Amino acid sequence: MVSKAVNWIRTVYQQVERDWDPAAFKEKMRLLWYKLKPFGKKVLLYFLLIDGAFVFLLPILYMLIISTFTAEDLLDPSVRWVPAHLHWQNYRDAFNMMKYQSSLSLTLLLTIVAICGQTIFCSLAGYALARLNFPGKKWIFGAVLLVWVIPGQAMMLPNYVFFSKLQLHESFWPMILPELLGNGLYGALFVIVFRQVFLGIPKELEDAAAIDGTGILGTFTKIVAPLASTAYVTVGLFSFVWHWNEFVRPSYYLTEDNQSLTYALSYLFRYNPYTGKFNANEAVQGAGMILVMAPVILIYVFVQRYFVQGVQMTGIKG
Amino acid sequence: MRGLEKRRTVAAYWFIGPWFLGFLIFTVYPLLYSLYASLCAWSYEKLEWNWFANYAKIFSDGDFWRCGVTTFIYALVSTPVTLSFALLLALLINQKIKGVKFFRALYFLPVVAASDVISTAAGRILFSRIMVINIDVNRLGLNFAASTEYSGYVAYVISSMIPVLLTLALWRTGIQMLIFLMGLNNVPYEYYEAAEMDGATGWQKFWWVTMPSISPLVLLNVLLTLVESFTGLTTSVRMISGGYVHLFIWDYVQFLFAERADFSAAAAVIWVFIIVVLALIGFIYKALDRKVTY
Repeated sequence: MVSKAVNWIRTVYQQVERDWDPAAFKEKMRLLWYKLKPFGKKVLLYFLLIDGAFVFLLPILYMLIISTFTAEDLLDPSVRWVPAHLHWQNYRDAFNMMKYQSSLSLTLLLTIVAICGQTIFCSLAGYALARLNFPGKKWIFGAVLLVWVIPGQAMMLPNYVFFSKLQLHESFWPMILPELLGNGLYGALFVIVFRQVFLGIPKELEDAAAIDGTGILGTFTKIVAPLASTAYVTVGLFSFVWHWNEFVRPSYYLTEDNQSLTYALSYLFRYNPYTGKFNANEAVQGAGMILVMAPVILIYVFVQRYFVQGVQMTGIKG
Repeated sequence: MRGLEKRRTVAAYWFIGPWFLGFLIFTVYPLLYSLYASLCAWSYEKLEWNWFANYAKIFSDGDFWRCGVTTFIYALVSTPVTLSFALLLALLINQKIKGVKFFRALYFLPVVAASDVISTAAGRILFSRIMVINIDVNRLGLNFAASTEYSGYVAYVISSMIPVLLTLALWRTGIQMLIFLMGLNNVPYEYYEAAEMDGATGWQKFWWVTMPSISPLVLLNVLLTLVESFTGLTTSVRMISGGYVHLFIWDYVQFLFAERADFSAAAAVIWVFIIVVLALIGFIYKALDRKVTY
């Protein structure tokens, strides 16, 4: 039995030795390599893509899962990914603790004002900087760049003192007035973006309109703005998102009975050094997060297509 | 034609006017007022001129240097990390393979959904539950304890900052990733073809074709990220600690204003920091601008 096997191995070995052609073998392996290489690259790419998506989405998924845990589930080490039973009470608790209705309406007010003010006045300013000539244009563009470069945090306190002199420091007006004039959160960045977009629109179109006797405002509203509509959507979306998620200004100006969503959410996370406890358990915190994020994600699903195009068209170039 | 020119100039002032008015009221006036206040002794009613006493006071305060250095270290470390991560992600979702659009939509989601508030919250819950991270802050050798009254609490805040930092580093790459992606889309395909004809490898193509083509956007991104990162983790610190702990310079400013009731000293800190940040950004711009190919 053993000798048979040894014999067989020997014959196979002899055959291989007789037919062995290093060049042909090399060629074969090379072909195989070329066949496998794109495939392997694809597998690697998909692996990385899925990996990245997992890392990005894990926190959101985990919040969804944890928001249905009961207080016992939170403490039970065997319950990690699958809750024993869905405990929707957490959402009701978070809803009540955050005073969701009033804080949602305040946040909606802030974001809508910001979207309108910033898209309108930043685009007007961007158009003036891109196309119109006037004395002092360089200086004003320099001012825009300067505002963009100064860290936003540095402006908080000077603004707070300014508004407290006007007796407005305990209301939402400090978060509305700058936005109404196209300033405020990232206003300078939006001016720069609009300027870039308008620079990319062919000048001949505007000249044609001017020759036809359209006024400057008419040219802007009828020709330039519609051409830049994706830029408007993009800037509007960013303005919406950044104001929706803003935390620092609300933490200065708002109080517990007059709060925005993010400020309300932070209440759940606040640690009380005297009792050594958080204001809400982790399940309720997770539910609160979902309640804050849900409207944004819903809107993102709808404008997502626009957004991807718009960002590519906006084409900020240095 | 002269009339038209004049009309265009007048129109230009109307166009830029509202923004500029807002700029004067909400940026220039508060800043100049705070500059004036920083040279005076503070009270709400009347300011008394006392030259550079406030500056002398903050420069001799250890907390000022500690918070300032922390802020700078954070900015200078987080900027390259964020940018390289963003570039890798942008390269990844710029690949032309099936289903990449779906992944693109997923990768953009944190740009809109994950703010500082959300990532602080998510980071806290996620890391404390799934990856149980227990970091003994005292062993890190960082002497952060700001006020002895809360020193255990300070350690708690800092140890919860670290997971938050990781989550933020991931989620904050969104805008930078978008900007890189825009640049990658605009690189002419012929350049790659020419490089391939000359037998360039993937690595060489990246360094000699991709990088020079997107270099203006790299510069833009560096400046953008740097400005952003000087804000530090102020939102997170404030959210977790409720304002008891000062870690970054803005927390220190807030502390001077809220607890010492001294706006002048706070304004002095703000002005020192604005000048230093502007100088640093100007320096980095000058240094990088020479390497950018337009």
